[in-house]
Amino acid sequence: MPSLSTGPRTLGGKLRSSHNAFRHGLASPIARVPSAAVNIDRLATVLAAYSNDYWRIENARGIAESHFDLARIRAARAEVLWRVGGLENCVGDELNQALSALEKIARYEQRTRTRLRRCLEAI
Amino acid sequence: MTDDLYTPEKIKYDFEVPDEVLPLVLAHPRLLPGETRDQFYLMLELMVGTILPDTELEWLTTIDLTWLQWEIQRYRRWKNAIIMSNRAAALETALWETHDGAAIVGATKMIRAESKMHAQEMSINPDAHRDVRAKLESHGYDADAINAGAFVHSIVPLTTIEKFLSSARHQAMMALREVGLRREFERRAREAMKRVDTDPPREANQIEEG
Repeated sequence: MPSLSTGPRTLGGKLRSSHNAFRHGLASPIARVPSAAVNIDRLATVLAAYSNDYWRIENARGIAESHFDLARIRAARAEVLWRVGGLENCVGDELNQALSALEKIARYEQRTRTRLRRCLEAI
Repeated sequence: MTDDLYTPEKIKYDFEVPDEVLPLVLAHPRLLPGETRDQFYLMLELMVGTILPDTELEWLTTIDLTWLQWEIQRYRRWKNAIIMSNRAAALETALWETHDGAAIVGATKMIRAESKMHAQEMSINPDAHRDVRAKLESHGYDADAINAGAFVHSIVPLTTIEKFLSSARHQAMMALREVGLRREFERRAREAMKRVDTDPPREANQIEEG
């Protein structure tokens, strides 16, 4: 029976893997970002038209969070392209790395847009 | 273009952005070399002027559409840049394939090095090595053939970028449909309310009179 991995053993490996979840920061909920939280609350209140209905407030919040999340995703995408020196200078391995990173970011965008669409339909 | 045409005050008052949406508009767009903030805000101004967003929801969609359009243009530029950067590689391939010494055993390395050097020089200066260019054309390698070669060299990254491009176009279509549906509903709702207001149903009148 093949033995399963028990994770990194060396200190260097443990340090490296401890940062696995913090690569681009897109996995953490946008509402936990202090600078965005205040703006999300304000926007959600207006989108809910100051209603007391629970579902309306929840959907308005979903829309507000999705839009701020999309802004964060765009910034992450631009950061990837910036790191490889812009569009014109991106060749060879750097191009492949950039495309791979952008594909990963695209998954987060897909998820956010699905949520946005669902909230827009429901509100 | 300088980056001082669109100040936060101008954007706030000229565009008439609702306060709650303002942070999304004023958040400095993360730009790449060759892009300016003014270009972005000019595009936003055009979008706002065309769509004329009315509600906060429409404003959010307009901003999203502007960004999608901006990214579509970015992907198009990227595709062109990749093809241009692979043009030298395509030229190099064409040069060593048409080299007179290609049949000589053991000369491959030298021919490749020479082709690479010529290709780089010809990419920088189109007038360099006119004789080599003429020979290439006599073998059927004109500008279109070299471009086609560059396209073949870049097919893998181009396919991925095309995927991003079509995804952005699809998202833009979805956002437009959302705005259209909402506006259409609002128009019909307003029309219905106006009709009810000016011409109440007869049954209701009769009930009132009764």
